[in-house]
Amino acid sequence: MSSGNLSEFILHHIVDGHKWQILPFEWAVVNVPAPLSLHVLMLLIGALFTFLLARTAANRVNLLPGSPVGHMVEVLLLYIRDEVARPNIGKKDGDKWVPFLATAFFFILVLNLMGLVPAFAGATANISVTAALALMVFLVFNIAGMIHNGPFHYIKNIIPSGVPMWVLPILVPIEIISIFIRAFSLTIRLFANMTAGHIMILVITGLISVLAPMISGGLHGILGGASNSIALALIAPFPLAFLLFILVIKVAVCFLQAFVFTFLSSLYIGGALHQEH
Amino acid sequence: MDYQSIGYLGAGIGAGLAAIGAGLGIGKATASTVEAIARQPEVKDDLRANLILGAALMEGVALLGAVISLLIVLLK
Repeated sequence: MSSGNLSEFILHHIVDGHKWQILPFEWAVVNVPAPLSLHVLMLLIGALFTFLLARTAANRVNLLPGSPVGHMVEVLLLYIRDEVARPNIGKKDGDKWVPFLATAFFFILVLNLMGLVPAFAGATANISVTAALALMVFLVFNIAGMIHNGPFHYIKNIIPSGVPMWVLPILVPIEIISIFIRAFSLTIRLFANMTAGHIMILVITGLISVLAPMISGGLHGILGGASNSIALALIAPFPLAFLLFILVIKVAVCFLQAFVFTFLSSLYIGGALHQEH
Repeated sequence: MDYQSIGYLGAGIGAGLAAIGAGLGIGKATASTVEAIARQPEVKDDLRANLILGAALMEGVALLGAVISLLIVLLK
Protein backbone atom coordinates (compact mmCIF):
# COMPACT_ATOMS: atom_id res chain seq x y z
CA MET A 1 0.00 0.00 0.00
CA SER A 2 1.45 3.35 -0.95
CA SER A 3 1.00 6.49 1.14
CA GLY A 4 -1.80 7.67 -1.19
CA ASN A 5 -3.72 4.47 -0.52
CA LEU A 6 -3.12 4.84 3.21
CA SER A 7 -4.65 8.31 3.31
CA GLU A 8 -7.61 7.04 1.25
CA PHE A 9 -7.99 4.15 3.69
CA ILE A 10 -8.01 6.56 6.65
CA LEU A 11 -10.45 9.01 5.07
CA HIS A 12 -12.76 6.20 3.99
CA HIS A 13 -13.10 5.02 7.60
CA ILE A 14 -13.65 8.46 9.11
CA VAL A 15 -15.74 10.45 6.64
CA ASP A 16 -19.52 10.01 6.73
CA GLY A 17 -21.06 8.10 3.83
CA HIS A 18 -24.01 6.04 2.67
CA LYS A 19 -22.39 2.60 2.78
CA TRP A 20 -22.38 0.50 5.93
CA GLN A 21 -19.77 -2.27 5.81
CA ILE A 22 -20.92 -4.82 8.35
CA LEU A 23 -18.32 -7.51 7.58
CA PRO A 24 -15.01 -7.05 5.72
CA PHE A 25 -16.36 -8.62 2.50
CA GLU A 26 -17.70 -7.25 -0.74
CA TRP A 27 -21.19 -8.67 -0.23
CA ALA A 28 -21.60 -7.40 3.34
CA VAL A 29 -22.12 -3.74 2.40
CA VAL A 30 -25.51 -2.27 3.21
CA ASN A 31 -26.72 0.88 1.44
CA VAL A 32 -28.05 3.42 3.91
CA PRO A 33 -31.12 5.15 2.37
CA ALA A 34 -30.96 8.82 1.47
CA PRO A 35 -32.51 10.74 4.41
CA LEU A 36 -30.15 8.90 6.73
CA SER A 37 -26.40 8.54 6.50
CA LEU A 38 -24.01 6.15 8.21
CA HIS A 39 -23.41 8.41 11.21
CA VAL A 40 -27.13 9.21 11.58
CA LEU A 41 -27.81 5.48 11.61
CA MET A 42 -25.14 5.09 14.30
CA LEU A 43 -26.79 7.91 16.29
CA LEU A 44 -30.13 6.08 16.14
CA ILE A 45 -28.54 2.76 17.17
CA GLY A 46 -26.66 4.55 19.96
CA ALA A 47 -29.87 6.19 21.20
CA LEU A 48 -31.65 2.83 21.17
CA PHE A 49 -28.75 1.20 23.04
CA THR A 50 -28.64 4.00 25.62
CA PHE A 51 -32.38 3.60 26.18
CA LEU A 52 -32.06 -0.17 26.57
CA LEU A 53 -29.12 0.28 28.96
CA ALA A 54 -31.07 2.65 31.19
CA ARG A 55 -34.22 0.48 30.94
CA THR A 56 -32.29 -2.65 31.98
CA ALA A 57 -30.58 -0.81 34.80
CA ALA A 58 -33.85 0.61 36.13
CA ASN A 59 -35.56 -2.79 35.99
CA ARG A 60 -35.33 -3.84 39.61
CA VAL A 61 -37.58 -5.82 41.93
CA ASN A 62 -37.12 -3.81 45.11
CA LEU A 63 -34.74 -1.03 46.05
CA LEU A 64 -31.67 -3.18 45.48
CA PRO A 65 -30.14 -3.03 42.02
CA GLY A 66 -30.90 -6.33 40.37
CA SER A 67 -28.44 -6.94 37.56
CA PRO A 68 -24.73 -6.37 36.83
CA VAL A 69 -25.85 -3.71 34.36
CA GLY A 70 -27.74 -2.00 37.18
CA HIS A 71 -24.64 -1.94 39.38
CA MET A 72 -22.50 -0.57 36.56
CA VAL A 73 -24.92 2.22 35.68
CA GLU A 74 -25.52 3.06 39.34
CA VAL A 75 -21.80 3.62 40.01
CA LEU A 76 -21.56 6.08 37.11
CA LEU A 77 -24.84 7.78 38.03
CA LEU A 78 -23.77 8.25 41.65
CA TYR A 79 -20.48 9.70 40.45
CA ILE A 80 -22.32 12.18 38.21
CA ARG A 81 -24.65 13.18 41.08
CA ASP A 82 -22.07 13.46 43.86
CA GLU A 83 -18.94 14.63 42.03
CA VAL A 84 -20.33 16.54 39.04
CA ALA A 85 -23.85 17.93 39.61
CA ARG A 86 -23.85 18.74 43.33
CA PRO A 87 -20.48 20.55 43.63
CA ASN A 88 -20.91 22.52 40.40
CA ILE A 89 -24.62 23.38 40.35
CA GLY A 90 -25.42 23.29 44.05
CA LYS A 91 -27.10 20.71 46.26
CA LYS A 92 -30.72 21.82 45.68
CA ASP A 93 -30.55 22.54 41.94
CA GLY A 94 -27.93 19.88 41.25
CA ASP A 95 -30.30 16.96 41.77
CA LYS A 96 -32.73 18.40 39.22
CA TRP A 97 -30.00 18.45 36.58
CA VAL A 98 -28.75 14.88 37.11
CA PRO A 99 -31.13 13.39 34.47
CA PHE A 100 -29.91 15.77 31.76
CA LEU A 101 -26.22 15.33 32.63
CA ALA A 102 -26.55 11.55 32.90
CA THR A 103 -28.34 11.37 29.54
CA ALA A 104 -25.59 13.41 27.88
CA PHE A 105 -22.90 11.30 29.56
CA PHE A 106 -24.31 7.89 28.63
CA PHE A 107 -25.26 8.92 25.09
CA ILE A 108 -21.78 10.31 24.36
CA LEU A 109 -20.14 7.33 26.06
CA VAL A 110 -22.13 4.85 23.96
CA LEU A 111 -21.38 6.76 20.74
CA ASN A 112 -17.66 6.95 21.61
CA LEU A 113 -17.41 3.26 22.40
CA MET A 114 -19.33 2.33 19.22
CA GLY A 115 -16.43 3.83 17.29
CA LEU A 116 -14.19 1.10 18.70
CA VAL A 117 -16.54 -1.82 17.97
CA PRO A 118 -15.93 -3.50 14.60
CA ALA A 119 -18.77 -3.07 12.06
CA PHE A 120 -19.89 0.17 13.72
CA ALA A 121 -18.71 3.72 13.00
CA GLY A 122 -17.87 6.42 15.49
CA ALA A 123 -20.49 9.15 15.14
CA THR A 124 -18.65 11.49 17.54
CA ALA A 125 -15.77 11.69 15.05
CA ASN A 126 -18.14 13.78 12.91
CA ILE A 127 -18.04 17.49 13.70
CA SER A 128 -21.75 17.96 12.89
CA VAL A 129 -22.71 15.48 15.62
CA THR A 130 -20.52 17.11 18.28
CA ALA A 131 -21.69 20.57 17.16
CA ALA A 132 -25.32 19.50 17.61
CA LEU A 133 -24.56 18.14 21.10
CA ALA A 134 -22.73 21.34 22.07
CA LEU A 135 -25.53 23.50 20.62
CA MET A 136 -27.99 21.62 22.81
CA VAL A 137 -25.89 22.33 25.91
CA PHE A 138 -25.55 25.97 24.82
CA LEU A 139 -29.34 26.38 24.52
CA VAL A 140 -29.95 24.50 27.77
CA PHE A 141 -27.66 26.59 29.95
CA ASN A 142 -28.78 29.89 28.48
CA ILE A 143 -32.50 29.11 28.71
CA ALA A 144 -32.08 27.64 32.20
CA GLY A 145 -30.29 30.81 33.29
CA MET A 146 -33.06 32.97 31.80
CA ILE A 147 -35.80 30.95 33.54
CA HIS A 148 -33.97 30.89 36.86
CA ASN A 149 -32.93 34.55 36.98
CA GLY A 150 -35.41 36.15 34.62
CA PRO A 151 -34.33 37.08 31.06
CA PHE A 152 -33.47 40.67 31.87
CA HIS A 153 -31.41 39.89 34.94
CA TYR A 154 -29.63 37.03 33.20
CA ILE A 155 -28.41 39.26 30.39
CA LYS A 156 -27.62 42.12 32.78
CA ASN A 157 -25.60 39.82 35.08
CA ILE A 158 -23.36 38.67 32.23
CA ILE A 159 -21.56 41.97 32.80
CA PRO A 160 -19.64 41.73 36.09
CA SER A 161 -20.57 44.46 38.55
CA GLY A 162 -18.10 46.75 40.30
CA VAL A 163 -15.78 47.35 37.35
CA PRO A 164 -14.84 50.88 36.23
CA MET A 165 -16.93 52.38 33.43
CA TRP A 166 -14.06 52.64 30.95
CA VAL A 167 -13.35 48.88 31.06
CA LEU A 168 -16.89 47.99 29.92
CA PRO A 169 -16.34 48.52 26.14
CA ILE A 170 -13.62 45.87 26.30
CA LEU A 171 -15.24 43.61 28.90
CA VAL A 172 -18.74 43.30 27.42
CA PRO A 173 -17.65 41.88 24.03
CA ILE A 174 -15.25 39.50 25.77
CA GLU A 175 -18.00 38.22 28.08
CA ILE A 176 -20.42 37.77 25.17
CA ILE A 177 -17.80 36.00 23.04
CA SER A 178 -16.85 33.74 25.94
CA ILE A 179 -20.42 32.38 26.06
CA PHE A 180 -20.24 31.36 22.39
CA ILE A 181 -16.70 30.05 22.77
CA ARG A 182 -17.98 27.55 25.35
CA ALA A 183 -20.15 25.78 22.78
CA PHE A 184 -17.35 25.95 20.22
CA SER A 185 -14.75 24.45 22.56
CA LEU A 186 -17.12 21.63 23.56
CA THR A 187 -17.55 20.82 19.85
CA ILE A 188 -13.87 20.89 18.98
CA ARG A 189 -12.66 18.97 22.04
CA LEU A 190 -14.89 15.94 21.55
CA PHE A 191 -14.44 15.93 17.76
CA ALA A 192 -10.64 16.31 17.83
CA ASN A 193 -10.12 13.68 20.51
CA MET A 194 -12.28 11.08 18.79
CA THR A 195 -10.94 11.78 15.29
CA ALA A 196 -7.34 11.69 16.48
CA GLY A 197 -7.99 8.37 18.22
CA HIS A 198 -9.55 6.81 15.12
CA ILE A 199 -6.75 8.12 12.88
CA MET A 200 -4.17 6.73 15.32
CA ILE A 201 -5.76 3.27 15.17
CA LEU A 202 -6.06 3.36 11.37
CA VAL A 203 -2.48 4.59 10.87
CA ILE A 204 -1.08 1.80 13.03
CA THR A 205 -3.23 -0.77 11.21
CA GLY A 206 -2.09 0.62 7.88
CA LEU A 207 1.54 0.44 9.04
CA ILE A 208 1.44 -3.34 8.48
CA SER A 209 0.86 -3.05 4.75
CA VAL A 210 3.25 -0.09 4.46
CA LEU A 211 6.13 -1.87 6.20
CA ALA A 212 5.67 -5.35 4.71
CA PRO A 213 6.76 -4.45 1.11
CA MET A 214 9.92 -2.87 2.55
CA ILE A 215 11.27 -6.15 3.92
CA SER A 216 9.67 -8.42 1.30
CA GLY A 217 12.14 -7.05 -1.27
CA GLY A 218 15.04 -8.21 0.89
CA LEU A 219 13.44 -11.60 1.50
CA HIS A 220 12.71 -12.17 -2.20
CA GLY A 221 16.23 -13.43 -2.95
CA ILE A 222 16.05 -16.09 -0.21
CA LEU A 223 12.43 -17.20 -0.27
CA GLY A 224 11.29 -16.46 -3.82
CA GLY A 225 7.52 -16.30 -4.47
CA ALA A 226 6.34 -16.70 -0.87
CA SER A 227 8.27 -13.64 0.33
CA ASN A 228 5.24 -11.32 0.38
CA SER A 229 3.10 -13.33 2.77
CA ILE A 230 6.09 -14.23 4.97
CA ALA A 231 7.05 -10.55 5.21
CA LEU A 232 3.46 -9.77 6.21
CA ALA A 233 3.52 -12.46 8.91
CA LEU A 234 6.89 -11.24 10.20
CA ILE A 235 5.92 -7.57 10.42
CA ALA A 236 2.27 -7.86 11.54
CA PRO A 237 2.75 -8.70 15.28
CA PHE A 238 4.60 -5.46 16.07
CA PRO A 239 1.92 -2.95 14.91
CA LEU A 240 -0.81 -5.21 16.34
CA ALA A 241 0.82 -5.31 19.79
CA PHE A 242 1.12 -1.52 19.73
CA LEU A 243 -2.49 -1.32 18.51
CA LEU A 244 -3.64 -3.25 21.59
CA PHE A 245 -1.90 -0.71 23.81
CA ILE A 246 -3.50 2.20 21.90
CA LEU A 247 -6.95 0.57 22.13
CA VAL A 248 -6.70 0.33 25.93
CA ILE A 249 -5.86 4.04 26.07
CA LYS A 250 -8.69 4.77 23.63
CA VAL A 251 -11.28 3.11 25.87
CA ALA A 252 -10.06 5.32 28.74
CA VAL A 253 -10.27 8.38 26.46
CA CYS A 254 -13.88 7.49 25.53
CA PHE A 255 -14.89 7.54 29.20
CA LEU A 256 -12.78 10.64 29.88
CA GLN A 257 -14.21 12.70 27.03
CA ALA A 258 -17.79 11.79 27.94
CA PHE A 259 -16.96 12.82 31.52
CA VAL A 260 -15.27 16.07 30.45
CA PHE A 261 -18.26 17.01 28.28
CA THR A 262 -20.64 16.35 31.19
CA PHE A 263 -18.41 18.13 33.70
CA LEU A 264 -18.07 21.27 31.57
CA SER A 265 -21.83 21.26 30.85
CA SER A 266 -22.50 21.20 34.59
CA LEU A 267 -20.01 24.04 35.13
CA TYR A 268 -21.78 26.15 32.49
CA ILE A 269 -25.25 25.35 33.87
CA GLY A 270 -24.06 26.17 37.39
CA GLY A 271 -22.56 29.44 36.16
CA ALA A 272 -25.81 30.40 34.39
CA LEU A 273 -28.02 29.58 37.39
CA HIS A 274 -25.90 31.20 40.08
CA GLN A 275 -24.47 34.31 38.46
CA GLU A 276 -22.44 36.76 40.41
CA HIS A 277 -24.40 39.85 41.30
CA MET B 1 12.32 21.70 -2.66
CA ASP B 2 8.82 22.19 -4.09
CA TYR B 3 5.78 23.67 -2.36
CA GLN B 4 4.29 20.31 -1.40
CA SER B 5 7.41 19.30 0.51
CA ILE B 6 7.31 22.59 2.43
CA GLY B 7 3.68 21.82 3.28
CA TYR B 8 4.62 18.40 4.65
CA LEU B 9 7.48 20.00 6.61
CA GLY B 10 5.06 22.52 8.11
CA ALA B 11 2.62 19.78 9.09
CA GLY B 12 5.38 17.82 10.83
CA ILE B 13 6.72 20.85 12.69
CA GLY B 14 3.18 21.83 13.70
CA ALA B 15 2.42 18.42 15.17
CA GLY B 16 5.73 18.47 17.03
CA LEU B 17 5.10 21.93 18.51
CA ALA B 18 1.62 20.88 19.64
CA ALA B 19 3.16 17.86 21.36
CA ILE B 20 5.77 20.07 23.08
CA GLY B 21 3.11 22.40 24.45
CA ALA B 22 0.88 19.64 25.78
CA GLY B 23 3.87 17.75 27.16
CA LEU B 24 5.06 20.78 29.13
CA GLY B 25 1.55 21.47 30.42
CA ILE B 26 0.70 17.92 31.49
CA GLY B 27 4.19 17.45 32.96
CA LYS B 28 3.87 20.58 35.08
CA ALA B 29 0.35 19.68 36.24
CA THR B 30 1.28 16.10 37.14
CA ALA B 31 4.45 17.19 38.95
CA SER B 32 2.53 19.71 41.05
CA THR B 33 -0.21 17.16 41.83
CA VAL B 34 2.28 14.50 42.93
CA GLU B 35 4.06 17.04 45.10
CA ALA B 36 0.78 18.16 46.66
CA ILE B 37 -0.26 14.56 47.35
CA ALA B 38 3.13 13.87 48.95
CA ARG B 39 2.64 16.86 51.26
CA GLN B 40 -1.00 16.19 52.03
CA PRO B 41 -2.17 12.65 51.14
CA GLU B 42 -5.76 13.16 52.37
CA VAL B 43 -6.72 15.44 49.43
CA LYS B 44 -5.77 12.74 46.91
CA ASP B 45 -9.28 12.17 45.51
CA ASP B 46 -10.04 15.85 44.91
CA LEU B 47 -6.69 16.39 43.23
CA ARG B 48 -7.07 13.38 40.98
CA ALA B 49 -10.39 14.58 39.52
CA ASN B 50 -8.91 18.01 38.86
CA LEU B 51 -5.76 16.54 37.33
CA ILE B 52 -7.74 14.32 34.95
CA LEU B 53 -9.90 17.25 33.86
CA GLY B 54 -6.91 19.53 33.32
CA ALA B 55 -5.00 16.83 31.46
CA ALA B 56 -7.99 16.22 29.19
CA LEU B 57 -8.22 19.94 28.41
CA MET B 58 -4.50 20.18 27.60
CA GLU B 59 -4.59 17.01 25.55
CA GLY B 60 -7.51 18.42 23.57
CA VAL B 61 -5.41 21.37 22.42
CA ALA B 62 -2.54 19.09 21.38
CA LEU B 63 -4.91 16.81 19.49
CA LEU B 64 -6.39 19.83 17.73
CA GLY B 65 -2.88 20.65 16.48
CA ALA B 66 -2.32 17.05 15.43
CA VAL B 67 -5.65 16.92 13.56
CA ILE B 68 -4.84 20.15 11.72
CA SER B 69 -1.44 18.73 10.73
CA LEU B 70 -3.11 15.56 9.49
CA LEU B 71 -5.61 17.60 7.48
CA ILE B 72 -2.71 19.45 5.86
CA VAL B 73 -1.20 16.12 4.80
CA LEU B 74 -4.40 14.27 3.83
CA LEU B 75 -6.39 17.02 2.13
CA LYS B 76 -3.61 18.51 0.05
